[in-house]
Formats: sequence, C-alpha cells, structure tokens
Amino acid sequence: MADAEDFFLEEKKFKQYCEEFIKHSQEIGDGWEWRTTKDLADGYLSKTHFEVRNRNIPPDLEERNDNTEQMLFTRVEKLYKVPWNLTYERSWYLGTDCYRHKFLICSNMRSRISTVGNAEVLHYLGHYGIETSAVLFEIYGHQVFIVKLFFQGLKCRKIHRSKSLEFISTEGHLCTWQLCPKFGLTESLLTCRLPGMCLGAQGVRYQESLDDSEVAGICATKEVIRYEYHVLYSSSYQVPVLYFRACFLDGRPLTLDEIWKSVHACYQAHLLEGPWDTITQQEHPLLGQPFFVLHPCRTNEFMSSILTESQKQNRHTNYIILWLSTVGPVVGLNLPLSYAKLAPEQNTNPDSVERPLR
Amino acid sequence: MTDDKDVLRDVWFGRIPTCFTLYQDEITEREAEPYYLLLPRISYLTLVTDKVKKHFQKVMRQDEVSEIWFEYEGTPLKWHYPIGLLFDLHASNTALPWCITVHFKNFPEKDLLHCHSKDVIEAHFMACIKEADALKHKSQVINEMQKKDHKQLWMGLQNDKFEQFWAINRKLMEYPPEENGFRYIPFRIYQATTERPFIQKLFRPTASGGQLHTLGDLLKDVCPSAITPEDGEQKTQVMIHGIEPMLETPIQWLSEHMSYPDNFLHISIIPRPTD
Repeated sequence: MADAEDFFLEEKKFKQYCEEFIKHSQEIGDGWEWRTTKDLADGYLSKTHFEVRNRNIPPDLEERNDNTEQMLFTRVEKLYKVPWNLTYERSWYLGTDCYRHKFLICSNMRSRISTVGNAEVLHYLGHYGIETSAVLFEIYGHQVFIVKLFFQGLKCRKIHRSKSLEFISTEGHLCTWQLCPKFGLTESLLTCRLPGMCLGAQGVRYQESLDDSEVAGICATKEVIRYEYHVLYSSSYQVPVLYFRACFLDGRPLTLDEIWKSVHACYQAHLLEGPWDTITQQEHPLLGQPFFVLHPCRTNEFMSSILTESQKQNRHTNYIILWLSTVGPVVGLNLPLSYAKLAPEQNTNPDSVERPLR
Repeated sequence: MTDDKDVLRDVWFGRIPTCFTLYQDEITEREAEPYYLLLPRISYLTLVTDKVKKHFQKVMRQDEVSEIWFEYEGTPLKWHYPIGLLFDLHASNTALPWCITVHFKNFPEKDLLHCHSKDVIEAHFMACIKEADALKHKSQVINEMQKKDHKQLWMGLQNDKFEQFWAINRKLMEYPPEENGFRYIPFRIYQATTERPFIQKLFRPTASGGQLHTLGDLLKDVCPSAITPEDGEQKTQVMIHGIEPMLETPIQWLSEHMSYPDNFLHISIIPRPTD
C-alpha cells in the first residue's frame, strides 16, 4: 500500500516540472515565467494577471458566464497589455531624438498607421472587430503602450482635470501620462512616471482633448485588480506552495477579507470552517514582502490520491500541473485545459508500453 | 543534565529593556511620554505591547488611530519575528535601552504583515511549530498531539508560563532512540544586508558516520561567508539569543536547548563591532 510519503516532491523534480510547465505556457501565451533570486540559488514560477469585476460585488459563477462580462474583460486585456502576437518591427526617432520608438505590427492583422504630431499611431482591429489605436513607446527597455480607445464607450482612464492617462506597461507597472501644455497649443509635453523614474517624450500632439464628461465608463462601475501568483518550493514540506497578492490599480493592496470574499463560492464553505488553516498572510521567503499563502501542510494528502489515480492509468504526470489545477481555482487562478494534454518529453516508464500481465 | 535544563530557563526568561517613543508626526492632544518595558526575547511585539498601545492612545484623538506598528531607526520591525531576533539583528551592539518608535498611521503595506488580532499571532506561531516538526519528525509528533496540546503551547507562550509550555514542548524535542537526533534541524539564518529575508535549507544533525554536526559545519554549508577566511579578521558575529555560541557546539544540542518557542533556531549574522 503506497504511503503518502512516497509522493513527496523533490526539489530537482520540482524544477523539471516547472520547466515543462513554462514551456507549455509560452506556447499558449499563458504568461508564466521563471524567476530566480539575485544569488541565483532559488527560483520560482511567476504570473501576473488583471481581473475586472463590478465594484463591491464579488464575482460568482453567473457573472463569469455572462457574455458581456467576458467581452468587457477581453477588451480590458487589450487596454492594459501588449497583444503578445505582434511581430513586425520598425523604429525611428521622435522629436529631439532622445527616445527611440519601436513599433510592432502583426503582419496578419488589418492595420494602418497615421501620424499624430510627430508620433506614429497604429490602428488595428483587435478581437471582436474592435478598432484600437495605440502609440507605442520604448523607454529604457520597457515597452509601453498608450491606448486611446474610441469604441463602445470605453475611454482612456482619466484622472481629475490634469488630463492624464493611466495604463499598465507590459512589465506590469502602473504608468501615468500627463499632458502639460507647455509648448503651445499644438504641442504638449508628455511625461511618464514609471516607478522610480520620471522622464519625458516630446512632440506628441493630441488631436482631440478629453472632456471631463468623457470619463471612462469602465471605471465608474468596474474595478480592475492586479493579481500576482508565485509558485515556490518548500523544502520543509517537500511540496510546491502558492503565494499570491492582489492590489487595485492605484496600488492599494487587497485585505485578507477582500481576498476571502473573492474566493469562488464552492470553496468558501471550506474556508469558513477553518480560514486560518487555508489562506494567511505571510512573508515571501525570497522577496521578504507580505503575500497571501495557501497553506502547504495538507498538500501531500490530497496530492497522493490524485497521483495514485494518475499512475494507475500510466499517464505522464506533471506534479505542478496537477497541483496547480487543484489549488489555483480557490484563489482565482485557472489553467487552460491544454496543460492536461501535455505529452511527455521522454517516456520514463518502459512498462507502460508493454503492459505486462501480472 | 541539570545545567542543560538551566539553559532552557535562561533562554525563556531573557529580557530586553526597551523604550517606546511615539513618532513625532503623530497628532496628539497632549505630549506623549515615552514608555519603558522589559520585552521577553522569546515573544512577539504585538503580543506583549498592549500596555504600550493603551499608553499612547490615551494622548491621541480616536480618529487618528489605526493599526499600531513599530520601527527602529527607520526600519519597520517585523512583528512576526521573535523580539530577541529583531534586537540581535538590528540593535545588539548599541547602547541599552532599545529605542523603538511607535506609529499609528501609514502602515507600511509592502514591508509588514497585518496583525489585527491575537489569533493572527497564534496562527503564525503554530504554523512555525508545525513546519519545525515537519523537518524534525515528518510532522508525526505534532499530528499525534491533540488540539488541547497545541493550545497549551500557545497559552504557555502568551502567559509566560515556562512549565506549562515545556510540558508539551519536550515531546517535540525527543527523537527515536535508534537515531542520534532529529531528521533535519529547523533553523533560519538572518543578515540585515541581504534582499533575501533568511536562509533556510535542509541540514542533518549527524553525518553518515554518526558524528554530530556542529554550528560551524552548518554555517560552512549554507552561509560560508559568515565563517572567516583564515587570513582575514573576523568581520561578523554569529549570534543566537544575544550570545555567540562556540562554533564547535553540536547543532543537535543547539536545536534542543536554544530554539525559540516556535522550535526554530533563529541565527543572526551581524557585523562585528570595531572597538
């Protein structure tokens, strides 16, 4: 009778499974990456994603199935992230040649380029046939999109009267562009605040100014939350551990209560029985910052039954995929189904081919 | 054997004289006097500072008060680290009393865990004990205990009751007679200068031949920079509970006698003071 102990995950195996996992993630654009500590001694899986939901109303099954919610979410993804399938490259200098601007255009997407001041603006049709306009800047190695959306009532988010645009760079930084009418009516100085930096790009002219009345419809009723997920290895329990944190776009972190309320309805009953055993706030062992953690002490219990089943059927098992698909949904992390169809790199079990009779 | 039990008492009853001062930018209705307190090395800041909180809240407007947090010379103090560890790591070679600044506003979300109730401290404390037992005994001893035993460990710490605590904790310090010690030693090594908050690795108390590993062996294995090069001066101190144990000390003995109540050996590597 197999002991639960037999299903402990060794650190080397953890890294192998993670490598396989990352490879598939890259193939399907699921956004996972492998990060290492400065001393290169330890590594972990990391993913950031944005979630849109109604203000003060936790998402539940019905909302997720609603079509408009889905479409809205996809549009917000376009608003805040660089579409990962852009491929064509072109570069030129803008204004005082302090900054180089790079454009990436997907060759099989219908697109056109127009000039706004000295900047080039890409217009392309995204999913759902939505026309999107974007000016792309590359600043200090961060690719940054300004997206001006003029469709379906979605606008760039505005802040007060300073006519600033807020969006997220591909690195996940919250960036603010502010228009300062310093160089006359037809030219404006754009400043961009990346964390720790403040620099300018000159010469982009906005063809129309946004009125106060044109405040983004999306922000009045919806809120966007940034989730960050890390998978680390615990040598004490010899299992992977899921760390996560969430914050609003203005940087305010979600409290443990707010996280609990956002947990899917069917997991909430379990949480209410013993919340302190399941999700708590802890110090990230590699970064030293507060994260929420899904407790690892029961991992081996449920993994042993899953793994036994899987091995009975002689299927290739990637511990990380099995584990993450089980615990992830509890905190809003879902794995696309294609992970389940992962083919083994090498068949390490020769018996599975022969299936000897015993 | 009696000497060894004395060590347990000395560790439990260690105290640090501390002076708490209210942060100058906090808004008060009248002047806030500093508050002096002897802090138990083995406990946690938010567990033993109720009186400090009450003292300062008396001079503040009610609406100016939110979650309390502590800072030493600009560094927010992590309440989930034992007090003795915080002192050894940040202030051990400075003059006593330890001067801590008290804040009620602008909680540093990026640095500190929240601590809204004693339940949070209890959950953290018990999680550490469970992790330590996972390393020492594959969680067998802690899982065999009843809930009331777990509760007794916590109550012993909370109420500063040595006997009550050790009545249960001694079971966590035992090991099978055929072994020479625990499976792995629960320890964490801290250095204020690194981004990584601590080093924790699997380390066995005995070598394959049966010899006991020492503190020096541990450091050589996981943190070699802490052990001096033969030609250079000793630039760092290795500190546990305010003292520098000899590097020849068996790590199994240290684990049994100088662990904190959470069953971990919290070791600080700090710069050696130049006299």
